[in-house]
Amino acid sequence: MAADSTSGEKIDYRRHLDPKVLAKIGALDIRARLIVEGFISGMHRSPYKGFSIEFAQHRPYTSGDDIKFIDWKVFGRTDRHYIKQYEEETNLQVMLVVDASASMAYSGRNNPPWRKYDHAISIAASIAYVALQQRDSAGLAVYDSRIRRIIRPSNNPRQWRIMIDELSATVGDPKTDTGAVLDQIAEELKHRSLVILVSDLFDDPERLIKGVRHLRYRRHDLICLQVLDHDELDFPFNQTTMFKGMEEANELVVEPQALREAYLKEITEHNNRIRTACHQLRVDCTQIDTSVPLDVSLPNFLASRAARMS
Amino acid sequence: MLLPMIAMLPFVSPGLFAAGAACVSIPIIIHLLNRRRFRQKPWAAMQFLIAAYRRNVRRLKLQRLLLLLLRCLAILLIAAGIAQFIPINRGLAALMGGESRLTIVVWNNAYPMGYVPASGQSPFAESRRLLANWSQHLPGGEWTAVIGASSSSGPLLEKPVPASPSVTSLIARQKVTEGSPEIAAALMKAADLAKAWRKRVAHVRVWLVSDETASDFGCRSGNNPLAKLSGALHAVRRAVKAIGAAGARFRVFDVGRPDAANMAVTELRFTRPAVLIGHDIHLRLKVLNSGAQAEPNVSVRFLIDGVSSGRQTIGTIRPWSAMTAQVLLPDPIVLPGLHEITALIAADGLPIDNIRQRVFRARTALKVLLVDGRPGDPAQGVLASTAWLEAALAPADKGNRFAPRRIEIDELPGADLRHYTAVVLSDIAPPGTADMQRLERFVRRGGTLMIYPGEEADASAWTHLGGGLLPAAYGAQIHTSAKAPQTLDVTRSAGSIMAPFIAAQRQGIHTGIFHIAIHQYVQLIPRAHAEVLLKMRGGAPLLVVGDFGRGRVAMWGTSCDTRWTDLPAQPAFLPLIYRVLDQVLVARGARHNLLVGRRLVLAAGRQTKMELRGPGGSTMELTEMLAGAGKSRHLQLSGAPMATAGVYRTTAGVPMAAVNVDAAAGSNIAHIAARAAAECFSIPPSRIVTEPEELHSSHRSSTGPAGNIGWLMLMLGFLILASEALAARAFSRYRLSTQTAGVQA
Repeated sequence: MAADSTSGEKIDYRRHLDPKVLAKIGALDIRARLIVEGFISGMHRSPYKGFSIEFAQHRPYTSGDDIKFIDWKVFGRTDRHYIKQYEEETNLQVMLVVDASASMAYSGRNNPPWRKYDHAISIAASIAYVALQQRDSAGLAVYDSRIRRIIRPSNNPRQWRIMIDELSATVGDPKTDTGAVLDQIAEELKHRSLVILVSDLFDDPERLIKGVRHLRYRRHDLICLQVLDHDELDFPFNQTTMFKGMEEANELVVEPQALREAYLKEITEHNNRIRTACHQLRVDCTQIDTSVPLDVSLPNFLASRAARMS
Repeated sequence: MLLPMIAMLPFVSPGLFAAGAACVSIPIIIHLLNRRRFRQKPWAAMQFLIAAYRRNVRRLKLQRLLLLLLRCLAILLIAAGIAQFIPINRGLAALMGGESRLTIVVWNNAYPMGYVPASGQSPFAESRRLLANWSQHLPGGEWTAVIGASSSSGPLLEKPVPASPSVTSLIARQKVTEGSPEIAAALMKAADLAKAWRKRVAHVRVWLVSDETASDFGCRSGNNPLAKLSGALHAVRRAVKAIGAAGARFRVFDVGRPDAANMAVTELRFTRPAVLIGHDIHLRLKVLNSGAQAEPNVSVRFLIDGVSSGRQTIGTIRPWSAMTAQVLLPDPIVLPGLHEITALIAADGLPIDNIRQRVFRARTALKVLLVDGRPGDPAQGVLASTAWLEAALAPADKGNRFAPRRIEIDELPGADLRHYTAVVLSDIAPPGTADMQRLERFVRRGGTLMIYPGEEADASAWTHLGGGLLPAAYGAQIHTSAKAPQTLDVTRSAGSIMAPFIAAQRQGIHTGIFHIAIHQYVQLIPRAHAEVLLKMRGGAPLLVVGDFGRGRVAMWGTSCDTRWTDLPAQPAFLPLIYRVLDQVLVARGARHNLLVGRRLVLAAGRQTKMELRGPGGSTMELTEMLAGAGKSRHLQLSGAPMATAGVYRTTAGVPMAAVNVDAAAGSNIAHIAARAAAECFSIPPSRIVTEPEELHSSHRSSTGPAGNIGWLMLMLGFLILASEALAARAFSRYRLSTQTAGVQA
């Protein structure tokens, strides 16, 4: 629970994190803050600890610091209170790579429509907000078959606003080429960075894995957030339907029930292949269902990552 | 067209099955509609869907087809179950735990079955009630065919159908026809059907349901068909034998009345070739008494054009016998043209044969063309060869029946033969080809050609030219001695010609018939089917007659005048010529008189269509059609077979046809007892069922037929329907809660 600064009444932020509710909120910045505040209030702990990857130095404890960051081993040796400080607090570069291809425009049976892209940019905006809040640098690349716009990582206070505007404005090309984009990102980033890929990963897995490998070779850390609609995971149709490709001009009339099992098998195999490759390359890969509220899916992912890092 | 085909289906309710079978189209239509009606959905994960489709397209198509087939089959089976399918195949029937059976009912529906006794109902009504009752209670697995045994039988169930209410309904709707019984033909049909179905069903039985009358066995008078075995009785026996050979069991259900009695006019005909205005009408009448009691003073009433023209009592007719009477109606016709005559006796239990009618054409005289090859010379007192004949045909007294015209051979090409009833060629050489063809045409259309030989006639040329026209070939020319001339053999000549001469001789009247001297003659060698009317001593033919087309050709062996014979000088000449002409001339109007079941055929004139009004306001349409082949091709007016007896008139009221029941073939309704009937059929007496009520219970008495397997098919249909549902579920595997495409750990 968090306190509303204007009315003083307690607002249940989590109530607003349901995609159906978020879809009603037009402004991405408000939506992102709502998400961040929502899951912070839900977790009662700092989410950005999950980004902490390396210890930097100690500094003396001052009033107001959280006592749980006191290094008790140092206190035992020196009888003084020191606080542990980590590297990310100083210079972590987060590069958000968001897929804006036509396949990301798919929206399931939600009302109002909640596209995968809406979900993706909400995630991206939320993460950028958190990163910038703790003075890390955050950058953005929006792509489809190529990078449409890239914003270099920065911790400038206006950076978040620039990113929000870019995410809100981007209209994608029908095609996707994530592998090539990752190759390009790998070349573009001069410093070691945390690259967060937000995409449905409906792409050629070989090219995609090649791109991931390239990034890892450049010693970038990578997180894959695969955003999928619940329909794509379940294929819950039961009437004869003409499916029209969103990225290619093809169509298919089928009885969905008859093809469901085979379809699920195909998509599962695809997802498993990518996940296996990511696992081998020490890349975190998580599937995010757009029907699941972000205050559940994001903290879950962050918590599991923190556990792995520790 | 479609309904009879549906009725042939092997179901108790073929209509229900037809409706159900039509419902098979519903899943097909839904399937086709579904292929056209679908919603559209933009889809991001298209690559996976297409990959899945490509890998499964064959399976999907097969599944769809299988499901469609299952749906159709289920509907078909349910329809078959509801309609109560009956196995047509013997093996299938046995597999289903029963045996099928075919009952072929030969139902005598001829007019004698309509005899209504003083008390009770007619045999036909009784048989109809019994058969309807029987068919109503038939179990499943029974096939039924009903064959009518009448010359005018409408279409019954000549192809077997399963027992069903429609069979009962059809039987209950039947009415007695006006045709005569044709038992042998109907039994032969049944034998053929039994043979054809022997391998399809386990049992075949043939039932004859009839009144068992003498007429059924071709016995036209008397009450014992076995006294004189007729061709009809032999035919019946052959048919029964054929039924046995086909492996069918034959039984006879006798619905007749032992006390049946009937009076019928079985024949009414003119004894002269034509009815002439101003002359008496000579009729021959035959009345049958088919009863155990003698009928005293049988009186016949005559009507001409509906007006009473006299009554004649023909005397007492003995039991089981017929009486023939010669009737003379004095000078009743005043106008030429078509008229009708009706002979009527008192009505009885079978009134349809108490009346007999004829349509005839009245003429002023019979025109005879005498073609003389040797015209003679009146100036020198030499008579023409046909002079005697001309004098005989046109005597000086009043009321000549004939109107002769004498021409020479040179005039023959210019003569219009259509105006003549007969053409006499006397002592002429064979005419040219064109004239010969005209003569042939004349005879073919119903004319009479009479040929006399003579000095001028070349016998061998005639024989060569005559071809099929002449009834005999000319042989050698014989000259007899003056002292021992050839004579007419009165006793060996046709009785119909000689009878009055013999009678006159017995009464002591000299006619000279026994003293005719024939000095010269040509040998006649009759062809097959020719009839020798007059013979000379030693059996040599003197007058040979043969049919050609609708006409007749007569060939004399001696001359027409007194050169070769003294016949013209004898007192017998004139009556002999008249008797011969009455025999030889073709009675016109045969096509206007026919029996029930026959087709009316009239010569086509200017009309291409003719509408006739029959008895009871019925109408009959005659239309023009081409008949014959080759040279005999001609147009004629023809209609459907006549089903109802009576006079048929044009819209102007002119009688055009008289249709009678074949009383000679059917009116002897003397009931044949079971033992005699069994002998007639050549079957054991036990096969004759005299208690027809047994028919009602007979379906329970034989080996058990297969019950229909409708219930089984119904269950099978529902089973397939359930299987279809399971298969559809199995194929779709739509389990939303248990399977998603999440990443597998």
